[in-house]
Amino acid sequence: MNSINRRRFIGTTAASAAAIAWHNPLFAAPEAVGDGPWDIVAVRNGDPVALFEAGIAALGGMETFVSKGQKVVIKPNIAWDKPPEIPANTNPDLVAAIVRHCLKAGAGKVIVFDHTCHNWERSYKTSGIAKAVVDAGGVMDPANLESHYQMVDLPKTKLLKSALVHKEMLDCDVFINVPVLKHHGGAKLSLCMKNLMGVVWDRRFFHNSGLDQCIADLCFIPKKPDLNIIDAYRILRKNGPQGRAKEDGELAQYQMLGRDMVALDAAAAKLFGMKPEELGFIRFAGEMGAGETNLENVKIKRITLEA
Amino acid sequence: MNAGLYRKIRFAVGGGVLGFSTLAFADIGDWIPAQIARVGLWPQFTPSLLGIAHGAGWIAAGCVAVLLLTLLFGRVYCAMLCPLGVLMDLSAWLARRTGKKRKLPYRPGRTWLRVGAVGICAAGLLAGSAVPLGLLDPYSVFGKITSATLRPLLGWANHWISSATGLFHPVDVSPLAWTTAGVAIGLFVLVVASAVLRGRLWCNTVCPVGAVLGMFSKHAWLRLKIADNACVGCSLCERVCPAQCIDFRNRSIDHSRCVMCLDCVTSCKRSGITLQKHGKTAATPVPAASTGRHAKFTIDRRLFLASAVTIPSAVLGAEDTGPQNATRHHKRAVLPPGAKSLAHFQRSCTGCQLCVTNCPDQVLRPSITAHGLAGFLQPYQDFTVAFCSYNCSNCSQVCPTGAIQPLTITERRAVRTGSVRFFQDLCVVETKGTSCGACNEHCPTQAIRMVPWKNHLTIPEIDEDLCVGCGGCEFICPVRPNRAIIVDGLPVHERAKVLPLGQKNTIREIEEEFPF
Repeated sequence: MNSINRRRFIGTTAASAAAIAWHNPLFAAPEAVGDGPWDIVAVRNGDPVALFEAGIAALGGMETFVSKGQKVVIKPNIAWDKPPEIPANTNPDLVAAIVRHCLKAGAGKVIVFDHTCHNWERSYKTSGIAKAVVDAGGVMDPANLESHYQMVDLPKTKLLKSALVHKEMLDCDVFINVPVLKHHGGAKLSLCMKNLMGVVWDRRFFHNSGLDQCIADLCFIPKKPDLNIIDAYRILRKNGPQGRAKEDGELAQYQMLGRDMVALDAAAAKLFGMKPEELGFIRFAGEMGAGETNLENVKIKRITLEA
Repeated sequence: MNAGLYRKIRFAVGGGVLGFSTLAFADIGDWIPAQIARVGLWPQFTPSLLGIAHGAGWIAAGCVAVLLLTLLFGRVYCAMLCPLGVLMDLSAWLARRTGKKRKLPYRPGRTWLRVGAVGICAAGLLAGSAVPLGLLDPYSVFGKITSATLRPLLGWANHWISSATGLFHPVDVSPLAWTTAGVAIGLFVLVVASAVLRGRLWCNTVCPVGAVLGMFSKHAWLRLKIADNACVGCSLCERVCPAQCIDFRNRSIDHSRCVMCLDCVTSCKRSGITLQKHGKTAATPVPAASTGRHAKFTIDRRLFLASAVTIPSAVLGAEDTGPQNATRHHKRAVLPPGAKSLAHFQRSCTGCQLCVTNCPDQVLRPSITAHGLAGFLQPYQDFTVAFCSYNCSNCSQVCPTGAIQPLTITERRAVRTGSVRFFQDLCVVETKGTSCGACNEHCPTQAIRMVPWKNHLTIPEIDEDLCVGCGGCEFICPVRPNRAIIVDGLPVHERAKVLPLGQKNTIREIEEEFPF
């Protein structure tokens, strides 16, 4: 009765394959040529957690970035008092998944903060990030007072010659930058480099001195991101960076991971439908040698999860 | 009722009122939510009375309840519901415990002062400003003191302990308002000193609530009486009376000044002072030595006369119309949403600072001259500190006088408190040729849109219909000394256009190829 016949064999195999393929990047459409290591891993067609798990697996797992006992700082975008459906902030489920993976990889402490534009307590709450992080075992840190920041000199920059930078970020072992892909009235798009404005105290200096150049200068702050994850599960298409209503958001189900902020920003610009060279901060960063602006020189692993 | 039990109730209720009010006004961490604060402050006489004028509904019933209570039992409000009164009793008690015991001999009432205080408040209101009332009303004085002094102190303590120990997060507390703090400290010193030296002097000279309730307590159903057959003239009751309203020689009590502490009742060794229904006992007519001169000229008539005396409104300086050499950057201060108009706000706000305490963004600050002298210490929105949140209507929910009318968040979004003015010649995009968009970033309604300009840059374009006057643009504009964008306060609030917006994300079709 229990013997394996051909029909049963085929059926079981197909079911197992489907089960493995579910969320497993190895069985997804082979959309990359060659082997790793990858500069960028791009994942699409799934919820933020599934996208992240496939993406981080392709980069060798969180253990590649985090060692036992290390202090990790995660910097999502939590700038606005907006719910996740208006994608002005990073997706809370994604942030929670990163926290969990860091802790699983042995991180001693995982700290999350942002220098918000709206009232910080309400932004932390409404974004859903505070609860998600705490539930996942991370710590939400404040960034609302000047006393949380420390003055650092930035010798390699062009305009931002010194800045007050958040102390936790200067003090951490691993720094993970998690922007959300969104439209921006001033910089046109808000991406990896732009997201780093949230570790600096004085933002008016950026706007007053040359926003794009200052954003590019952020590639040279003392603690460079060890990993960047662009959340494009929902993309803010218009009225950025804070968005007005849910209609401004587009459910796109993308995510891009990598170390090179410039290359990631270039890829995200294309995903949004813009040319990288249209963005001043990408141009400036390229000129300063902060990263690769030409995506043809970047090794990209492309993963489409099966629905 | 047993006087001992009454005093226990008085201490318990008084302690509760003082504690609650202190927490409500010194709140640095949303200890007491706006709604609870408003419920807890329901019996406060002045805000409730002002609330009647603005159709504040149930909140207005508070003063009616206090009046009924006064008609029944005298000035119970002063004894235990007034936070300032309880604070005075507490300071006097502490002073007695630590210093020498002061005897408070009987003093004849200063009716002219009390009438004058009510008259000044009434005249102020008639002239369109609640500022004089706000500087004499005990609830508002208590609020000013606590909010402007204790609150910043708690904020500093919080920051200090937080940075030293890391046990909790630091709170947002607006920078100290020096002038307000100075006024508050002055009032505090005055209140405490008068209480230590002269008991309830304040309550029976300058307090308008004391004067009004005194008119009712004179006719209260139950009043304290000194029994002729029990009194041996020992003067104990007179010495302990903080209102200085017992004349033991004539065995008389001035019920308009009695604050119902019942200290006299417990002081009397012969239990000679009791609460009696009026008219039942054979009350011997009070000898006319002290009150006789004014016996016929009642406070009621004086009140009427004083109300008719209007203080020249010129003194109050109705509105700051600005200097003659006003630049284009001169702007009127922005009122909190729900304040309706400057006129409404100025005649209704006693400057208790409850909204200032409850503003999570700390954009509300007491004005010194921003609203003109007629708006002294009434709050305005200070966009150099912060801006008004699009997702908040706390100030309107907490205001007990109706000066800020209650708004839901949806209603708040339809109110324009100020109008935006953009000076393109000062804008960074124009002057430096670099991108900025900080104002647009902070605009919740896209009243400021970034439109294409030279060299792939974008520059602000204003749609005034959408502006709600939140001040986000003015707050964040990096241009100094004069900002390139400001919000000018509207003397009469308007309706902002609210666009119907889609409540669903659009869905992206998955492309054949990755777009990069």
